[in-house]
Amino acid sequence: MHRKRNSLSRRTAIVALAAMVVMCGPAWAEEIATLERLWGPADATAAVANGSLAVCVNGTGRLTACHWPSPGYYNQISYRTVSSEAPLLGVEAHHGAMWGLRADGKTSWVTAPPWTARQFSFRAGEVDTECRWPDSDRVVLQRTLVHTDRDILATHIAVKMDGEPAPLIWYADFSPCTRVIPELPVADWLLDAWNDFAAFADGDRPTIYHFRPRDPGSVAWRQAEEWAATGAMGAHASELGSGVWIGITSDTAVVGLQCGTTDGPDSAFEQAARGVLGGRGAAVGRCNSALMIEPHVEEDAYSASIYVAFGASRAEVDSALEHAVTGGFESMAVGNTVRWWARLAPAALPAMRDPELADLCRRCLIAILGNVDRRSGAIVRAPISQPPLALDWPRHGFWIDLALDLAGYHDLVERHTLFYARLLRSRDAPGKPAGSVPAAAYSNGVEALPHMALEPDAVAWILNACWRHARFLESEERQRYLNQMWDPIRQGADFLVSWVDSRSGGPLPAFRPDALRDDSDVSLLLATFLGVDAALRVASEPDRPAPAAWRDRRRELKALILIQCIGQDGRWIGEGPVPFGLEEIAAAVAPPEPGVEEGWVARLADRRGVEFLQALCELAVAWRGDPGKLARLKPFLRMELPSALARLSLGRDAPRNPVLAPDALAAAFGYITAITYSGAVSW
Amino acid sequence: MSDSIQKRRLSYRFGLVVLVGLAVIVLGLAGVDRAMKTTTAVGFSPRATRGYAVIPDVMTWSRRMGEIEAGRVFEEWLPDDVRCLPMLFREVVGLRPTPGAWNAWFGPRLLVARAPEGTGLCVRPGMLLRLRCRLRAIGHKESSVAGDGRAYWAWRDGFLVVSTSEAFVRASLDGMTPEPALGPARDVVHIERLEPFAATLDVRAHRGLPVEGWVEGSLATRARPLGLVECWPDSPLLSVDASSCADLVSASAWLRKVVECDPVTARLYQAAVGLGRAWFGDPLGKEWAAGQDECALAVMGINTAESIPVPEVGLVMRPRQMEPAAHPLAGLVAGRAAVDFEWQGRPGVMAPLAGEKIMLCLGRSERDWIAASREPIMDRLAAQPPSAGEVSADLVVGLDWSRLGAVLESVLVSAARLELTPRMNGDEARAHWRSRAQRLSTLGRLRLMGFSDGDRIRITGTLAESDAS
Repeated sequence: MHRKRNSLSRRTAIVALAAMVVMCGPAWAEEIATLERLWGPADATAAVANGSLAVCVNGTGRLTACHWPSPGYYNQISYRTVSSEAPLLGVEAHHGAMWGLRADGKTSWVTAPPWTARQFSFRAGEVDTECRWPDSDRVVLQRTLVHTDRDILATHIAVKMDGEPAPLIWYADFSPCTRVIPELPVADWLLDAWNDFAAFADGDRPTIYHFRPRDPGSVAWRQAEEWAATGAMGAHASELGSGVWIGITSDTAVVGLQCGTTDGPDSAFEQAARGVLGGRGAAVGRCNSALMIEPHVEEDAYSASIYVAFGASRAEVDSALEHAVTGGFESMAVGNTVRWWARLAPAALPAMRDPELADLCRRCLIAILGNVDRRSGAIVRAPISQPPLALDWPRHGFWIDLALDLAGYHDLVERHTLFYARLLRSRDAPGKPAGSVPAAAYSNGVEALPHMALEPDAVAWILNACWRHARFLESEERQRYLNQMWDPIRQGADFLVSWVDSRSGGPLPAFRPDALRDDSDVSLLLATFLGVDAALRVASEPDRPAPAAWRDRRRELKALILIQCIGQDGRWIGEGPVPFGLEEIAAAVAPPEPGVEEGWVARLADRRGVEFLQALCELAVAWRGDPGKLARLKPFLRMELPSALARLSLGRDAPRNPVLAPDALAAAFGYITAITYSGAVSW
Repeated sequence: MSDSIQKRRLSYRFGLVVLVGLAVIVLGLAGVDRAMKTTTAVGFSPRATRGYAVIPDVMTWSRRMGEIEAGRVFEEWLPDDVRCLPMLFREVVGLRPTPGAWNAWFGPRLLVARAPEGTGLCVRPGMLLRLRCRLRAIGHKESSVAGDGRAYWAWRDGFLVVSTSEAFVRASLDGMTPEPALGPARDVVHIERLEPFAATLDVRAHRGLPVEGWVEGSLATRARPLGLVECWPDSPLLSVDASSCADLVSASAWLRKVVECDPVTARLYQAAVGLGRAWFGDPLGKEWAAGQDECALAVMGINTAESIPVPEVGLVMRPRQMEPAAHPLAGLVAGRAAVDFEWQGRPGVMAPLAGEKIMLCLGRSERDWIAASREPIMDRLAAQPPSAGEVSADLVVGLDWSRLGAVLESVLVSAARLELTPRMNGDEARAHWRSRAQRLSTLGRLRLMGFSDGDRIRITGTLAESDAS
């Protein structure tokens, strides 16, 4: 494609591209706003994940996403938002999973108004949501966690006693999914009606199973319907083969249950809302389910726990549930804390004299580590319900890798960059030139966005990430790593060098996610320079001869940056410092005028969410090693930074209290800022 | 005369009387049977019926359609819930419905309706079926629903309603009587759409499957014939020709209503609209198409090389007078990264949108403004000489079944691989769809002409133009 465009432009070469706008970096906020307009707002204030199972909850404690067997694909629960303007974001009442209380002859879902909620985190890797009934003493505490090593979700509810204990209800609209669609990440979200298969209850300890065998045919559907009608599902369901199995049980007495179909008269949601579960033991199609549990009564409260296990077969699920029920919720919570602390032990953290900042860094790292796919090493940006953030984006991955390297998790960064190396296209195809990569990928390596969205800057960020990571390694280790990466780096650099608009000398237009179309702006120019520069630096190590074209291209790109990004007064044009990585350019730039840097800091207050975090991070990185300047950022570290971590959606207020960021990119910005500010790592 | 002769005469006379009596009885019964089957009403369906089809004479229709290849191909593409309906009779009365015996058992007329409650059919059987129902003790009480879990049925005013959905049958008992405008033709199916848009279509069981009908929408009435119908370099997959781009949008308003009915397609449509805004914004003034005399849009093909099928689109706009003005769509690329270009020696501009497969190319040919989504298409359009063929209509729609069949085969096989066919696995879906898509390719071309008729567009044409059977 690039060659074709080159030849076309050579033939014509009449008019240059439209005027470019200097940007300091990708427009994160605009990008999220665009995505929200297309797919609805994200409804996730926190995520708990273990690299295989990733669960998101919203501000009320409702489960809004549940990815398994990877944070990056197969969302196993139905949940769709419509608009930020719609009440409760337009989500249907039966979507997700939630707790309900029986009170005054009615079922009251604690995740719905008039309950009000606030969220916090008692322990590492745990989300706690306290819900209050207005003008009363009725208080409910929901605790949600994911086992660090096993694919078990556990949720516990404790209700402060305000009368006789009543049965509790746990409802779920699981939609087991067994496929991804290349280039269109909607299979586990928009196509829920085509997912799912059957649900049934079985076992001495009543357990509800939702399952879908892999690629079920018409015979499997007919058999399931027969088994559901004759009550034989429990005995035969495993015969349909492996796929996705989800088992739900409790460690207290189950006094009622229902497996129903979402749109049918037997819907478990409708029955749970009425407080009478019909006891139907099996359903086929789009299924939902509910359990009514006799709570465990304590002195001044009553409580119950639900365990949800995920596996490829019933046997795997049963084994996990046995483990969960035997240990109990508290034991799992304590065990989780111990394991998270052990995992965080080697991480670089701010000094103990600043426990608040250290805690923030821990939360950020937990958020990132939970999103690292155990199998492939991919790192998912945010395991939310709707597309396309539950994917690995190479241009976001750079910052996540930087955070992990700063923390000391070099092995994870190596796996991640190797994952990227496997994404590089080795052969030319229309719209997919050799050396390019998909703009985003599922964590199993399958292309996740339309191939028409070609992002050369993704390649540039990968090369940059490789070089940055190598710098964190000792000499021998670095050579081993770079030898391993040299072929992909060469391929990527060749592609970047060929992506030239011969009329302007800059990179050819490429896909801009914030605008959803091809365009050309300075961020592409800067990224391309960084990519070629990184490749040349790798090549400058012994035994790696770099083609002369790389050096020529680097010179051209540097000249263009100097022309387009530096004003007549010799200063950098743009609302911030010279972007990270352009040290050579920064050296050629005059220092900003007095008062300009204070202006950058003041403008932070106008930014929100990831945009704020990125701007804050860029300032911290630019001023690293200069405590005087870093001190200017102090007011933002205590309040705005934690709040921004939970703000994935621009449409609503984020909780003021930090929990566990669902967004690994936001967490990476948060960690880099905090660790740089603290001076705990010099880099 | 001997006794024997007299006896013979008597027995002969008696036999004659018996025969005449039997004939009278048979004729009487036939008359009663006919009277039972004959009515002006077509049957009952739920009040919320979204659409229905009426076949005035099932036997004639089935026989004629059986002789037409296109008829057999289209039958394969009927939705499963409709295709399985006649077989419900086997479930209900133990009779396999065949075209030859249909009229005798079920009466000549058939109503098939689709409603939120489900899909079902309604017939007005004669004496034979009623007798059989009585003998087999099959629910025949008026206005009560009977069923066996797989099929449900009920009688109302001499009509038998049958469906796989009990709700459909119940709703039909309290439902409406469709009132289609049926003509005298017996070899026709009358299809009427009520929701989400109004339309009718009469399909004749003749060679080429001629159709007539209307759909809601408005068009400008033309004084001159359309001249861009044959303007395309190759046979496009789909082409639409009208007086202006506004007419193209107006004529497809019904399509939007269909898309918005389903949550999945509605969400994808919203996303597509968002993408369209991102790509084109709203930079065109209201009068951008004012100078157009004619506008033709074509999907030249669909690129199925990757997982996402990418349509390749061409657009030709004939101005009333070609003036050295800017391209009518020039506003779409203003202020965007775009490259000046030249096709067949005439200047144009090329703006990338999403890689080389989706761009906006604007230019002109000898008489027309042209636009395309890919550069090679633009090149072919620019080289195309002005077409000579003219069609006297306000709208012409063409569809190349062979190209559609090839695209569908590719898309459906991919969908099967990705488990995107409900209740089928990959192998089943491939077996189910591949042969159907291949047989679709044998149908030749669809060609429909539209004529402005107030707030309706009157339609006439053929569904399978080159069908030689």
